[in-house]
Amino acid sequence: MLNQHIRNFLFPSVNRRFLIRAVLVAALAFILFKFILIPFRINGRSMAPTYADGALNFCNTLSYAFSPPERFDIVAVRLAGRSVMLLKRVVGLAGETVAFKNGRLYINGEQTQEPYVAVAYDWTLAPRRVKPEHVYVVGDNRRVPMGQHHFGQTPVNRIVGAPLW
Amino acid sequence: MVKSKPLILIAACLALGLIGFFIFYQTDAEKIRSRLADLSERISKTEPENELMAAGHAKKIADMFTDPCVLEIPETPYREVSGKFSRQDIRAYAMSGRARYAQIKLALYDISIDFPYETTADVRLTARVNAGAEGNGRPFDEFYELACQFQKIEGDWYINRVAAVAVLEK
Repeated sequence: MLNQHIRNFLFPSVNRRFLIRAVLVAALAFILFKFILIPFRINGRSMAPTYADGALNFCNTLSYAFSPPERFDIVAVRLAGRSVMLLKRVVGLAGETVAFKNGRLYINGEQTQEPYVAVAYDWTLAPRRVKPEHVYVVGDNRRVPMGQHHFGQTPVNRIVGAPLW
Repeated sequence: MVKSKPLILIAACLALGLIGFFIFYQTDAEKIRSRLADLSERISKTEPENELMAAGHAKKIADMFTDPCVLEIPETPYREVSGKFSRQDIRAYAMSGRARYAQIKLALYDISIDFPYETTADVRLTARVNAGAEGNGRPFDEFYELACQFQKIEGDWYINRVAAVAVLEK
């Protein structure tokens, strides 16, 4: 009896019910991985040591469906579309001022602890206010000079979602 | 029965014509996509090339732009590219840029095309430029969101403007 069940599971007979089920599974998988959990591969060391170069992950597009991103969330920022996204950490929210002094982050003039940063280069950036409907994002890898690291404020509507893990 | 032969021939010709039309006819959006694919192919470089080959590639690249055209790409690893450029300028720029790198790969993603006017197309895309060093060039792998404008001149589409979009504003 058990053998029969296993055989039916592994080698199902191709009937109408099976075909409908297969089409449904394919359609659900397409919707899930095209629109909700977008698979991506990390290219570069901008988020090291939190995320390694070459790691695989999924972008959960429902993360901010009901609430805006919060400070220290890791987010995926789209470019022209979703084929290429920037993985960054939110450090400043709309209306706040963001600055760097000797590699340390200052929000509204107060130094903010960043336990996820392993080694910090001595970045210095004058205070700037985050525009409405924007967030300020930076990568965790601060081992490089400021000029070689892509960071700054971006509209919230560019945020596609958050990595699944 | 005798007269049916020419009719069959005419029908076959019409069918072939229709098939040919559907195969070879390109909408303006398809023409622009194909133009971008050509640009990507012409900019890419897989092996070292001599000066003659480099000049040929640079000319082909320059011929895809209007004369003059506007480029606004402030952050490139090579140098700032902002202002009005003639085809001659683009040719010279392409020549010197290609000489610095042994391999160059340009990949384009997420191309969207709008037609505000019949002879103008606004194109948004993400470009990835990957270059392997040679001589005094620094290897790099960069992504840009680009806003481009194409102009239709005598049936062909030419790049009239390329501007980098600031996704992150320091």
